[in-house]
Amino acid sequence: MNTTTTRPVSLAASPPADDVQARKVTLPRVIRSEWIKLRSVRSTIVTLGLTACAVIATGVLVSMLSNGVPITAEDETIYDPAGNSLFGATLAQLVLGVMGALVMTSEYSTGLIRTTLTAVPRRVPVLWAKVIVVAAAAFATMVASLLVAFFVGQAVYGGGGPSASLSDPGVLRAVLAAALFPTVIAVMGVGFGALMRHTATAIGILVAILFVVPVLFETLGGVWGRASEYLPAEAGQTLMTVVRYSGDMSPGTALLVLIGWIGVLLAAGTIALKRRDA
Amino acid sequence: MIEVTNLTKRYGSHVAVDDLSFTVRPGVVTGFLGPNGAGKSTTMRVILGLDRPTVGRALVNGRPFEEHRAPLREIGALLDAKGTHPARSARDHLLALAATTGISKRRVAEVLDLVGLSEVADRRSGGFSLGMGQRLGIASALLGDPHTVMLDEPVNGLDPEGILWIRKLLKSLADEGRTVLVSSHLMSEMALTAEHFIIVGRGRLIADMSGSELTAMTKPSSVRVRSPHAGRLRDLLGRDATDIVIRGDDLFDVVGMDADEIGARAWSAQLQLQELTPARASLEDIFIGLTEDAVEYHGATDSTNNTHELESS
Repeated sequence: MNTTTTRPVSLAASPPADDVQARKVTLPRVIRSEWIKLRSVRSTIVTLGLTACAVIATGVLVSMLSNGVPITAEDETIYDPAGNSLFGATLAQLVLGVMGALVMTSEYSTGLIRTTLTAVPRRVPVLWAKVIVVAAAAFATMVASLLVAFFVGQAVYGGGGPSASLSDPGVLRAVLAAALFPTVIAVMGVGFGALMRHTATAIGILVAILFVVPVLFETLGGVWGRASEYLPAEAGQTLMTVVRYSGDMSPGTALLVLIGWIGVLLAAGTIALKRRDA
Repeated sequence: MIEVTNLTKRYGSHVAVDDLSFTVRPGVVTGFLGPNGAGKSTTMRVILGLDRPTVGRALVNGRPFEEHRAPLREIGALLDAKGTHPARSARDHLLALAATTGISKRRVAEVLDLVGLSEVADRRSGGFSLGMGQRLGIASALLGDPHTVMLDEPVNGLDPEGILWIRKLLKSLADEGRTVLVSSHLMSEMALTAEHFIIVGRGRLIADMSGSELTAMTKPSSVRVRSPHAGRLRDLLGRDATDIVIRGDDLFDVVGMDADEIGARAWSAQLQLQELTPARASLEDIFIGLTEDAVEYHGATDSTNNTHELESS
């Protein structure tokens, strides 16, 4: 094939050794490498784009549907115009979680992991760089799309009932929280990916923890029911809600719960990556 | 320089590498030979720190590989052609690799050019043929201009032109003073490229010798002689040869006397020779002889033998 024809040269035509300038492997360099990997696979970019569209569309749609609905006395406390336009974040968690898992498991399914770990044989920087890149991409996508969803959503409300503004108490926090929660799930995806290595297993466990285990805990009730507050999905809802029932976990505690999940998962992922044969 | 010392690697009860020690020196192409399943790839993975040794260790340029500051500068490796994400282009693959150690875009373009992939560099690597994948793997290996180059079965999937190209490439790398370790299960291929040979079977070292030592083992076992004066020649040589085997009216094999000597004696007796052929054992024959007892997966003489191909090489 014409395109693979090799010039009859050997390495003699290559530059002298010091021209290549290989430098020390550092975390910022590995982050740069992982960023190139993330942006150079089209499906990742498409996923992020679709997530943004879905977040905006859902937020606007929920705002439109709930607009003009009369507020009854008992409903008043849960009328949450800001929360309504941020509704899309709940959808985004699964998509971004899957993306996080794939960023890790695709290395194993394609055999790329061996190339990657040959370039970074200390291994751990690879996991941290992936976490940072995935978190940054997820958070940036979420913040941007949530702000659009929020402003359009509030414009929908603008005419009639109560609407929210970014300067209202708790609203800015809710926007950031709604961006943060799917980001946390994306990072958990990376962690499960590092632990499980197989795409289907990693995603299966992530879905189970997000959607199945909470239902199971609620069904069991009692201690289990209260423990469900500490599951990532519940903690995420607590973090995101603007208007809260009294007796709920505080957003600060919810944030700590999520950080705890990430911490444990990434610690386990680090040990797995470091210990196991690649 | 690669130093492997008392390396043993077990996967469960399967011993892939068994107390293997050898040194790969710079300046020559070293062929790493063995039948499939001999432990070559496992050894290479241990050298790269991808697999942990059960016992023993492997050093790259005097240190465990992972302790090097700029690993791509120390060793460039091709493990298998599939070490890329199919949705990523060759250029982006190399750029991501280069970024880990601050290697420039220009160097990426250079290695793409060197392996002949410049024109397809921006296409998805998933669409590459096996040969193009090998070239991309070789480009990754050369990216950091490494002191040591280690390639696992690099000629797999290459066309004849590509095979010739890689032979030249390996020799020029060695001539530049680099350490070059190339694995293969084909002696015939290695015989044309390597100057030093490390031969393994069932995870154990079978031979560690230079090409000339190996060739010495190929000294002819017999010399075939054809002559219209076969009878007189046999009488003439019979006194000093170990054995003479008659093959036909004008044809016989002489054991224990070399072709020079036979030729000289025929000349002085003024007997015409029509053929004088040393029956030299090929490197391939020697390789097969050496590894015969160490072949893990013989051909299917029995159906159960086929069911446990654990490792491809």
